[in-house]
Amino acid sequence: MATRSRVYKGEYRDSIFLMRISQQLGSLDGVRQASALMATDTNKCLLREAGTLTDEVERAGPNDLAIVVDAVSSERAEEVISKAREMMAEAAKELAEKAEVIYRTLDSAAEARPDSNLVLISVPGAFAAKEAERALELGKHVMIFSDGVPLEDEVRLKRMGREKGLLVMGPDCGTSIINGIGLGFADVVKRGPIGIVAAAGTGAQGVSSLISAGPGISHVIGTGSRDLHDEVGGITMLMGIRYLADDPGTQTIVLISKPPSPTVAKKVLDVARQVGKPIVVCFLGGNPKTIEEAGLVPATTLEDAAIKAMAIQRGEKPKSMVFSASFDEVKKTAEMEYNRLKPEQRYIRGIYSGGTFCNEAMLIMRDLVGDVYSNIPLKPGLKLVDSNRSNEHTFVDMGDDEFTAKIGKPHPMIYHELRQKRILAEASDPETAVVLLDIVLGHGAHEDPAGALAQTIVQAKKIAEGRGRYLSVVASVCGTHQDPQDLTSQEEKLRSVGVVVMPSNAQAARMAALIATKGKVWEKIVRGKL
Amino acid sequence: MMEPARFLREPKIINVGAKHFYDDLKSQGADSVHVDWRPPAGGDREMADLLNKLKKL
Repeated sequence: MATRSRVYKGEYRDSIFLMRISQQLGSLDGVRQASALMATDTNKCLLREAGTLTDEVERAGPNDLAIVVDAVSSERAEEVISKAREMMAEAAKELAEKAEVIYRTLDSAAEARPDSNLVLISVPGAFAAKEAERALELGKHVMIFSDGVPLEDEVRLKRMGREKGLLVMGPDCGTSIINGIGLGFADVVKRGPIGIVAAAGTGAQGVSSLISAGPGISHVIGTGSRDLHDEVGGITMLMGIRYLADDPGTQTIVLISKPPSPTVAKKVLDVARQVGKPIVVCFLGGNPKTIEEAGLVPATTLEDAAIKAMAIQRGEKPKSMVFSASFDEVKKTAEMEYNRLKPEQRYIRGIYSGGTFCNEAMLIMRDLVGDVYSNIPLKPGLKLVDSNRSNEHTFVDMGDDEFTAKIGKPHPMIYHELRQKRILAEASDPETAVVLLDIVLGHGAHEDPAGALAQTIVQAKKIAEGRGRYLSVVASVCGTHQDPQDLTSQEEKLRSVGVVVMPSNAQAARMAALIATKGKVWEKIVRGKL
Repeated sequence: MMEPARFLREPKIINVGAKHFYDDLKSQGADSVHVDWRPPAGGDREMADLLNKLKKL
């Protein structure tokens, strides 16, 4: 193997663009590893750990573009570097051909487009607060996709926004849909009368895609994951509720979050009860009583929130549901799976790309199979010692920092390699009964996630089979028929490789519990409506 | 201050950062422009902070 590098002084490219180039280079013949990156200290550190940091890149600075290729020979590495340059030149040419005006700064764009009213910011976290502050000074609403923004900056920006009557969605806001336009990671939804305010990106995607099959969505306002923390006090959620309250196109509202502190919960519920429109509240894992006492409708899962909002919108009485298919059908599917398992195959391994889906599934599991170990555990005692090694029932959020930003890998909604490796590792474990997965579609996500995972699933099932076992794989796809990846064809790709595909994450979790316990939790599910 | 709900009725977006998101906005027919953002002062944090202070003076 030979490592070759090239540095281009003062050339800046954004991280998503570079990630895509790196991915394409990495899949070329004879390439062990390829990286196109800005030569920041973090990136240099990652290259050093991988043993591919060259002297040239070591000397480069954070505003220099570096291409590093580790290939079968130095000639091949050089060829791949040239290929990378071609790909970058191609992208620049495409842009020039479109003859679009590209601005250098927020100020120049705002000057040219004085009627603009929303700024979407996805610059590196260290610079995001400054851009957001400028946007607010210019009188624009802001969505900050970037994470890594200090909490004190978030508090300052949101207070500033509130004073000016401007919404600050984020930092770390993955999903918003404004008047049908998806910002960040968002599904293509049918327009309709139900509005959402969400502190959880994949939570918002889960609920909005389910409602898209019914009455449809007016807006999704993302708040960022820390908005309901005591320090921030729910500033964006409170403003979001008021916006949807005043919006004539919104008739029913859904709020989604992890349970806030009692103080913030009270503030949110106090404002919500005064809105005069029906409001469904999904504080995942929270106590439904305080919500009921406020005269609002509590929901236990994301799907429950969607079902209840749709029922209210149709003028029906909201009720819960555990499976959309008939009980006979569900039982039969589960039996077919668990009858093939060996007695020692007892555990569920949830390998997740969406943090909220992972959290929701663990809450369902807690009541069905007991303790679940995780890198984002429900209680501290269940934290995995090593996130790369499963223990009994284990659910991993592979979108967490330790699998992404900290090791320089993109989010598993766009990049599958780590998740694929983990699925294969679980298949080799004789105690694994079920591998449980989420697949997220929509703008921003991978172009064919089910296709990418299907090959791995075939391999995983073969590994188990080679050792005389059967591996059950259960999944749910979060998406719509209007998404660029198309929900039906993605589900079909999974079914064709023997995956049990369920209509929601909650149903997939229940199905996984049924299979792993060999049907023992059936009564609990049906009677307890868990 | 702008009228609060206008951005809900008629979002006009400035995308600052990842071009991928701008391409998504365009493909949805959104009224949007792109800022090809670069780190201020060549990525030098101290210099960037200084520039930011100067801008405010």
